[in-house]
Order: sequence, then C-alpha cells, then structure tokens
Amino acid sequence: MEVEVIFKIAAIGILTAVCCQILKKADKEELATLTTLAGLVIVLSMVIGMIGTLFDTLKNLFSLY
Amino acid sequence: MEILKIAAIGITASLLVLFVREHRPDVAVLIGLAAGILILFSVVNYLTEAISALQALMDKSGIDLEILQAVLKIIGIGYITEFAAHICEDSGSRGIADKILFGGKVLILIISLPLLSAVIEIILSLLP
Repeated sequence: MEVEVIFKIAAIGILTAVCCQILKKADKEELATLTTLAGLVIVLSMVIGMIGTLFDTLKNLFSLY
Repeated sequence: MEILKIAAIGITASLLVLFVREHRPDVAVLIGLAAGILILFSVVNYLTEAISALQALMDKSGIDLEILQAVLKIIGIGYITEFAAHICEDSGSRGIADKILFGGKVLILIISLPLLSAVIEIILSLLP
C-alpha cells in the first residue's frame, strides 16, 4: 500500500491507451472503447477502495460521526 | 524521514499525471487522487499522536472536552472539503469545487455556533 499503487494505476492507464491504438489500427473501434472502459473500471475500483479507507481513518481520527 | 517519502510520492505522481494526461485524462486525475491519499496515510500516525496529546492537554486544563471535539470536527471537515474540492478542480469542474467549499463552510458554521455561545457566556460572566 505504498508508491507501487501509483505505478500500477499509471501502468493500467498506459496499457489501455496502447491497446486502444492497436485496436483502432485493426479497425475494431468498439473493442477499443470497451478496453478503455475496462481500464477505467479497474482503476476506479482500486481508487474507490482507497477513498473508503481514507474516509474511515478520517472518521475515527476526528470523531466525525 | 517522512518528508522524503511524501516528496517522492508527490513528484512521481505529478510526473506520471503529466505523462498519462495526453492519452487518458481520466486516469490522470485518479493518479492525483491516489497520491493525495498515500501522502495522508504516511502522516496519519503523527496526526493521531498530536490529537491524543491535545486531548491530554485539554483534560489537564479543565476545559470541557466538548470544545476540543468541535475543533477536531471542524479540522476534519475542513480537510475533507479541501481534498474533495481539489480533486474536482483537477478534473476540471471548477463549479462543483466551489459548491463543495460552500457546503463545507456551512457545516463548519453550524458546528461552531455552540462554541460561539460558550464564548459569549464566558465573556458575560466576566463582566461585573
């Protein structure tokens, strides 16, 4: 749960971008948009998990019930 | 040293954001969000120490804990509002960021009202 999370997210972003370029060249437009969406969903699920833990720690820290 | 880790996380994240932004602007915003969360997690232990020290101080000084609870709540709300507003601003929607700031201000006002009345009572009791 350290810096490698940032590298993981960046890697997913770049990979999906590259896949889209390849799929666009192979004129499979709909697959390209699907891979973009899949990459976004993966990254979002990771980040939303982190936001959940952040808000929990803040709630306990500042007793914000 | 914590500050080195924070600086390293911040620099790498901003460079990655710059790099990923041309291909995928949405993922770039999420990288910034993740970096912000990591930076907070690296200092959260010191924050808990500071807050427990403050509470010990308040117990000794005899001021009732209600005031410290309100101050901590205000700090927490301020931090979360700032965090959310900056994320919205990064992703380009400045209007939503301002709305979040407005909501945060209203909540802080509501929490600080009892403090205000406490201060006024103390002042009135001091007057002859």
